[in-house]
Amino acid sequence: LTAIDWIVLCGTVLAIVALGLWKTRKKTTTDSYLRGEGERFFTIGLSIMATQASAITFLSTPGQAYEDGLGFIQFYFGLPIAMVLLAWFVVPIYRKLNVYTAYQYLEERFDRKTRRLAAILFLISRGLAAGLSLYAPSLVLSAVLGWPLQLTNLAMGLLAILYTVSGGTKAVSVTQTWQMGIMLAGMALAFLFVLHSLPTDLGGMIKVAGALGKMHAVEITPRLDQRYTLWSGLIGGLFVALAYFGTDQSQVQRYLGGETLAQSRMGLLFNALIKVPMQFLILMVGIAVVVFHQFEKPPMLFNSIAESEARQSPAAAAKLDDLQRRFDANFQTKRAAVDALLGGSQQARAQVLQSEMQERSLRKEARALVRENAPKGQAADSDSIFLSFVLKHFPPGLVGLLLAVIICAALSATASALSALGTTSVVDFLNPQDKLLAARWCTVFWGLVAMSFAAFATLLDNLIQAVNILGSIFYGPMLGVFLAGWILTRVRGTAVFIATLLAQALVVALWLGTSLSFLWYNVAGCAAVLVFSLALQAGMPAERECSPDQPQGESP
Amino acid sequence: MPTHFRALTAAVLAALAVEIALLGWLSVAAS
Repeated sequence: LTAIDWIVLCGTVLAIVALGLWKTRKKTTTDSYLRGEGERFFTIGLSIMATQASAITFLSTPGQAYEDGLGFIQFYFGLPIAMVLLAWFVVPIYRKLNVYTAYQYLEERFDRKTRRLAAILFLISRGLAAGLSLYAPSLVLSAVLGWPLQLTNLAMGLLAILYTVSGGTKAVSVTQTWQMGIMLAGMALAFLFVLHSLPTDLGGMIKVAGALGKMHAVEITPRLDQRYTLWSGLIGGLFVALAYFGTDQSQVQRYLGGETLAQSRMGLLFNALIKVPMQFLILMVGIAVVVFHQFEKPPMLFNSIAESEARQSPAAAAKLDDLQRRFDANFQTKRAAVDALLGGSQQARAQVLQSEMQERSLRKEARALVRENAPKGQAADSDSIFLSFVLKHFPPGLVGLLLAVIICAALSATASALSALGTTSVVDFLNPQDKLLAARWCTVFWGLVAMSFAAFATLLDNLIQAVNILGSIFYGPMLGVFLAGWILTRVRGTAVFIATLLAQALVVALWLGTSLSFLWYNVAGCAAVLVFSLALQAGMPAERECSPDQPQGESP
Repeated sequence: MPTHFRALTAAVLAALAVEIALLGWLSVAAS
């Protein structure tokens, strides 16, 4: 890294942290800490987006487009619909009850045990995920830049704790507005820069990417075994987004503090408008990079540290050399075909695609070799694609800005998680006299949990996968509990509590026993809670004070 | 429900429909 990069990187990241501290230096109240207050829709919308955009969004998504094309965009098709439903029907419920956490609603609607169950599921999954949102970028930064892994974890964790503890939700939303601005500007500049570096124009880029099979954004045929199709995106994506934005406190907290109901609602709709175009932009950066590498030979493996570790074994080194020779020869064939394609030859299309398939299979073989021969705990090769490209080809200054994008994303995702974890611990469990002080200590506690998880994550390869899966396993039943509250007016606490435990068991069984795409777990888990709770409620004696056709008695 | 909120909702859903249609068109046109 050059001095300019360090200045841009540290200047951007620290200036935003300082701004968060400065803006909340005087008047941090219990309300502004726990829930935020007086936020405008613009801040709410950006804050929602910054919470969802973790560092791995910016590291992995261009890599995903590089490998599999634009298909991932379909995952976001359900999101705008979810935003509309939440803005119309759910935000008014939370605002009317004046809650600090989504789980408080569950006690109002059902009972305390249901509230505690949902809050515990949230604390476990989000607490571990916060660790991962520090660890995942640190791993890639250490693989590509050689930064010390533990020090990177420590620095990012401490920065996030610093401003979250100081200003709570208010500081998180102030910083996220700027962090999101940096992320969007950085990615837009990255796209323009790569496009400018191509020896062809935007039309040529799309033509080449199309021939490589990367421009297939929408898959209309419904296929359960394919992860992203129009249908899994619209339906599965809708359920994921409803669960995430409607029941996950790290998101709910972002819009509870709106100045008015209308501002909270418009914040969600703002996210609905921007999200798909933003993801498209990030994916197009990956597309531009893959097209760039049709003219300039890409590395066979992007994680060069893992590769050199694997090359310690002479047998693996010899095999990698052989693969590299075939990779180089294949590149020459493909290069010629791409030139012919741009020259107008239609026959060249088939050759381009065939060489691309060959390149992918060679890379796959090389990756398998590295996995077998390098020690565990290496960053995935595809996660290193974008950052290694940035370092090699971007000018000084822009490299620093792109690193700032990644660190801003890590901080924003971690800070909103810590803030929500702190609020949930205090409001749903501890309920002490001095809520502000307790929330600050809880935020520190969860920050330390996240940092310790990040510190030990290298040793626990399988645990990382488990955390990723945990999120998708909990979401379906979690949404089911809330949906039961919103739409099944007859269902009561005990029925929904048992139904949730049963649905959770069902989702675990689906995960262990079938090859269903994970997007469908949410649909299944949610539907199971609704069906089970209706069935259980039908078999239970009606509770007098709750039954709609009994007189209400003394209750208000 | 305020009128401007209905209009905004309609705009959000229309934007989604246009985005899906454009991406669908791009998928066909580029391959």
